[in-house]
Amino acid sequence: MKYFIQVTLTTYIAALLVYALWSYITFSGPNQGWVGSLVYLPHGPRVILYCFFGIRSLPALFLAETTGPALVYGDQYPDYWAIANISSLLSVVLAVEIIKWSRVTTFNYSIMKKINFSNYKFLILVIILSALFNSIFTNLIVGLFNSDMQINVIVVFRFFIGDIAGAFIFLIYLMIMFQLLSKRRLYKVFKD
Amino acid sequence: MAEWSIALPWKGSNWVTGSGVRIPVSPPVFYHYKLSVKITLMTSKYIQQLSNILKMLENIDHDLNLVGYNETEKKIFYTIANNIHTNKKCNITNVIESSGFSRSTVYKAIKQFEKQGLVTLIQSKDDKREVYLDLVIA
Repeated sequence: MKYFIQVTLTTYIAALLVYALWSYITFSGPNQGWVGSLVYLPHGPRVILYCFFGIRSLPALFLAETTGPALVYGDQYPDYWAIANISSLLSVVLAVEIIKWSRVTTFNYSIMKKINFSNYKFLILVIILSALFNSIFTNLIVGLFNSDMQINVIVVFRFFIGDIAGAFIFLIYLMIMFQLLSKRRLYKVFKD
Repeated sequence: MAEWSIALPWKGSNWVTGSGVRIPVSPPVFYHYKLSVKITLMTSKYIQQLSNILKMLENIDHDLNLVGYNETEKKIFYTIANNIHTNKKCNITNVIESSGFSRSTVYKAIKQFEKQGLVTLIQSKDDKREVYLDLVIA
């Protein structure tokens, strides 16, 4: 239970912070939303937090993905976006399970078995696969509920590229933070 | 009648002075409980996962070769810089003495610094065998 609370709090805060940063950059410009989908930063925490914290991070991720846009759009927030959020989370779950099933990580497939994502190559695979599923499923759901929206191959491709680019930028950001942390530690060692 | 003259008359009895054997008290239960809680907290799954994230970032760092120098090399470079700053000059022997690393480690690191263009080796005018180190300021 304690682990679940720790995971939920970390996941929710991290995902919401990244969403807030992304929405601030996106919606402050004139092309609201369109350019933002080319670098969709929240895909990064979605993949990384699910990969490391597993199924326990899903409720917090869903909450963050629902409350984030709800705070930005207010009353204009359409209800079917919640279903789209579920589909984007499930696309990450599906990508992880496919990687497990493909047995590139372990020889025995088990839904309970976890992949060691310290090997970042698996993480990159998950990012790419989940971006592909997310772009297809989310656009399908949005197109199903809202017939006014133009969904075509270009939009799907834009979402695909945007998710990958966003996740990579998030990873680079984490790496810079990691560098700063390790440098700080080294500084202390030298001072002593 | 017991063969041994000082034997106790029956098993339940004891000497007046008491037995010399002292049975140690059992270890305090609370201490162990606190210790186990501490260990559980330290090795919790949450911390393990956080360290896995850091490990993943470290692996990317390592593979992309973003961290070019290890701690030893950094310390040697710091020693060179410190020596030049305080003594105005620095040779390899100074670095070995100040850093505490072996001659081969220091030589290897200096070779790398020279290759990367961080340090230059200047031959002494008085003694041709002596080589001074100087930092390259870009």
